Amino acid sequence: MFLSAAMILPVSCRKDEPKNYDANMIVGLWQKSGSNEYWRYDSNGRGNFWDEDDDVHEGEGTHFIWSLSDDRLSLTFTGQMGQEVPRDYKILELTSSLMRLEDEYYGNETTYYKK
Amino acid sequence: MNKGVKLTLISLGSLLGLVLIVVGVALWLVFTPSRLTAIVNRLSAQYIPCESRFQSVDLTLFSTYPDLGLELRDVALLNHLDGAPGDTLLYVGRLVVGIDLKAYLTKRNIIVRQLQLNDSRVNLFVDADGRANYDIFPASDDTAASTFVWPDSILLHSIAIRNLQAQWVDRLHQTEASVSGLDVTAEGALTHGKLQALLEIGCGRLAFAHGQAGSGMTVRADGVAIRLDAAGDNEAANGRLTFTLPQAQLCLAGREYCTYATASHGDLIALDAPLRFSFDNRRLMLDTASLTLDGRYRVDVDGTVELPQERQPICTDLAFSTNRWDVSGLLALLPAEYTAWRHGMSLDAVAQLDGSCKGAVADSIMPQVDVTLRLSEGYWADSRLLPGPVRGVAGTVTAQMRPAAKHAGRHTVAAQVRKLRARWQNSEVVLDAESDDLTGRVPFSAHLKAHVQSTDVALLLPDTLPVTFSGMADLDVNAHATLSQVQRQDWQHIQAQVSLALADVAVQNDSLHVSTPGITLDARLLDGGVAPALAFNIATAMLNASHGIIGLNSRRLSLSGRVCYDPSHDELLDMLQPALAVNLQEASVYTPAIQQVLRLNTLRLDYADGRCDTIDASLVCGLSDYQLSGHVDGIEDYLLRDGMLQGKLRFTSNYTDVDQLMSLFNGLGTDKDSLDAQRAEAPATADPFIVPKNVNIALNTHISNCLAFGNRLSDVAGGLTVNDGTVVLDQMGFVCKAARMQLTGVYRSPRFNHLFLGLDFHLLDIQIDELIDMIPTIDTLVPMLKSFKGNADFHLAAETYLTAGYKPKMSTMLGAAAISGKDLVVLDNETFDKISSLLMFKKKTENKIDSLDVEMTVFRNELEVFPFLLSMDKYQVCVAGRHTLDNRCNYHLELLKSPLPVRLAVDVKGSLSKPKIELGKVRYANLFKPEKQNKVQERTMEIKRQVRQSLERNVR
Repeated sequence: MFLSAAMILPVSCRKDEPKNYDANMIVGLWQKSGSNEYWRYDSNGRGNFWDEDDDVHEGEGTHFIWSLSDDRLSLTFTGQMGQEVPRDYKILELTSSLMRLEDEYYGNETTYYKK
Repeated sequence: MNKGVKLTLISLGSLLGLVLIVVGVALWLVFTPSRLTAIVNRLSAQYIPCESRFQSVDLTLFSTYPDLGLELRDVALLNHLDGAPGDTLLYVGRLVVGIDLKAYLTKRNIIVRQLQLNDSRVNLFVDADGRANYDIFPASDDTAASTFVWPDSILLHSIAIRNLQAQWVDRLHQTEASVSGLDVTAEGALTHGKLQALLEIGCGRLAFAHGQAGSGMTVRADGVAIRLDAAGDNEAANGRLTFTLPQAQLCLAGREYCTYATASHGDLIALDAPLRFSFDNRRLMLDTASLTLDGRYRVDVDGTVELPQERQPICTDLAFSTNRWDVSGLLALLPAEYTAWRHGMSLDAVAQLDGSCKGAVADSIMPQVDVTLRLSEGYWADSRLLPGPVRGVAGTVTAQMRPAAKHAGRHTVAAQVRKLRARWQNSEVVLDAESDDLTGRVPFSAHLKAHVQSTDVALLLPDTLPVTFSGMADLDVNAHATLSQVQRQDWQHIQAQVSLALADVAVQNDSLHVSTPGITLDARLLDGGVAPALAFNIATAMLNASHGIIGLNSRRLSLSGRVCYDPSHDELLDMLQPALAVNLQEASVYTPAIQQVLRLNTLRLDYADGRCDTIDASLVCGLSDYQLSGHVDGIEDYLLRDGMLQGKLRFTSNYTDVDQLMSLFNGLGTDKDSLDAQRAEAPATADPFIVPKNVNIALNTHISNCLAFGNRLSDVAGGLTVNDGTVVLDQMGFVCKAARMQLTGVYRSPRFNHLFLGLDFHLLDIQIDELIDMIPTIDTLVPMLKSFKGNADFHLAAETYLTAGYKPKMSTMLGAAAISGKDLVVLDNETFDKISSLLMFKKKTENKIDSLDVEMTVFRNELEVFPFLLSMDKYQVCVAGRHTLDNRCNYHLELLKSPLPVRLAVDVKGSLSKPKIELGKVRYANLFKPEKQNKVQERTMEIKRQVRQSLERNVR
């Protein structure tokens, strides 16, 4: 029994290796599922998001700097007053047309479709 | 008497009488009328080529005594010429010639001493080919010119012509002349150097016509009388010339210049000229010669005229003067064509002239003439032009004509007007002017003074103009220019100064009302320059103006500067290029936009070339007071070409109501149509502050006390910049009772429903509870602050976009905050009690937290508190979590250090008012141990540092 437990525990405790996603697949314009919220990721590591349901247009959106490390998407929202607001998300799925992100703190998942 | 002598005398007398009777009988028997007539007829046939008839020729002695007379009656010369009115060339009713009998008997000299011609007619005719009916004598072969030589003596007892009718018709030159009822009496003698002469001419009618009917000239004169008598010697003669023309008619080119009705008060022309003529120097001297027109208008002339001789022209030295002329009557003498302009107007005045004429007169030589015209009792009325007459027109006009200087080439005429005044209603005008070259460039100087009553001006305005005003004006104008400059409107070279003083002025027009006890305007044209320019100064001690519900009251106001006129530009400011200096004191303005009276204690500013230097401005609005100094640039570009208005001002105040101040500038410079379109998309009640566009004004402010968004602040100092739609509060430092603060704020209004608000806010040495009192919003963002009491530093950088109703657009909210505190006291509250009981803290004890460093971020509607450490006594608690602005939370509290042997953690989830607390996983055991941190923990601490550093960078 002890040996069985010794064999199971390491297996049950083994963590999954983080996936390595291609940052180029993120570049582009994404729309949040079920809303008029848009996210644009530029190839230079910068981006912009806006919510048309809130009467915000593309040129009026919030800017951010993004980077991808394995499956961790780090966003730093830069304010016009000099403040920096970092947010990290885990990429659950990334294809040419779909991206699922997880807010690890809450465990919320959000789906984006590429435009 | 001796009887013998008596007998001798009687004998001689009887013998003389017998001789005379014998001579008379002999003459009667020898020289009978019939015999003489026949002799004369025969002789005339020989010597007079044309047909002639002498009805009677007789000798006379008694009627012509002491001369021997030859009397001819009914003498006719006839010469037919086709086209002539008649064949009679000459008809003489009676001609008597008296011959000096003694000279004839002694020396055989025929001297004619008497000539009488009665009832004669002369008809002279020239046909279209130039043939004349009086051309009856053959041409002389002697072509040598003869020279008239004055006889040694002339003794002409008398020449008398009575009732002479003469007519001259010249078809070749289209000329006709006639005289009827001509009487001439001439008597005179020049003997032994003594002269005696008398000439009297009277003419019933004199007529002359030249040219075709309707286009030529016709003259008729009735009752002409001329008399000249003279007496003197070889050197000089005195005499008197009188001329009378009772009435006449002159017609030129079908236009009547004079009619029989012209003379209504006396003879048309009357001349009475005592004179003296000097033969040696051919000088005529006049002693008050009078020429009178229509019996009313008299000119008296005194002086001398030297007749031309050899190479000397006429020389004059005359003085003349007139009596008082009635101008109206004088104008009535003129032909109607020349006075048609008087139609519809009344015009009268009294004019008097005097002057002199000195110098030579020739074709190219003009004398020196001085004339003075004195005008008085002038009156002019024309209801078409001016209601009411112009009275009291009086003044003096002098003119001088000077001959050309040697090398000048032309004569010059100068004129002066002195005190020419006129009165209309209750207003008066006085003019002084002069020009010293009326025939050349006509330079002139003029000085006009006027006193004008407003009631008089009101008469000039149309009734439909809804303007009433009162007061009076005094105008003083000085000008120096040339006529060509005025005609060309060459304002740069015209010198002119105007002073206008208005007193007791009140103007009312519908809703516009302006009044002042006095205002002065001084202006002058500036010389030179590319464009005409005017310098002016306006000053008043008090001015009240209102337009509807907008009003201005001012005490001292002065406005000076210059404007020019450059029509090459279209815009008014570019055209005028004004430069102004304004000095306003103790003024008040009311406008609905302010809703309060704006008092200007002082306003002094200079404006030029689009730049305004505010030297000193002090304003009070309600409880607020403002002092401004600095400069503003680009005013013209801003007003005309949507350019940027730029400025740097110092703004100081003892008290400022910020809301009221913002309302003054809301939407300035924004396109109204665009703004209205955006406003239509927003709720009707929304009225956000739209930051002025095209404005870049930096205000260095210092406000002792102010009310801003419901908060009272003191010692507010720093920079406020309005830059093309963005308001930036830069490095604003102020003190409230809670803390030392530094605030930089940004507000933009890019769209009516999309307003940006950003804050960079630092509170140093704050009392947390007082901070929450001052900024309640902080409590919403950081609810746990309610739990703490004590001193801390607080940093906040946040932004969001707002709707037109100032509601945040949550998707745009972005912020970061950091709190640092030492020795903070934890306050009792329900949540903390639960936590404290769970972790077995001492109850109801005021505790202090050794230190506190919290970093948090706001993203959209979510606030994240990064893990921070609370150290208290033997316990260390790590707190982290998130909550949304709708007060839903998810916090993790973990006991890092305690007397207990185990690590405990709780999760607080759900509503902040009623959270659900449950045990949670331990996560942060090594978070504050750098040597044991994992990647995620490292990242967490890195984020905390990143957030704090981004905030503390802005602290000054």
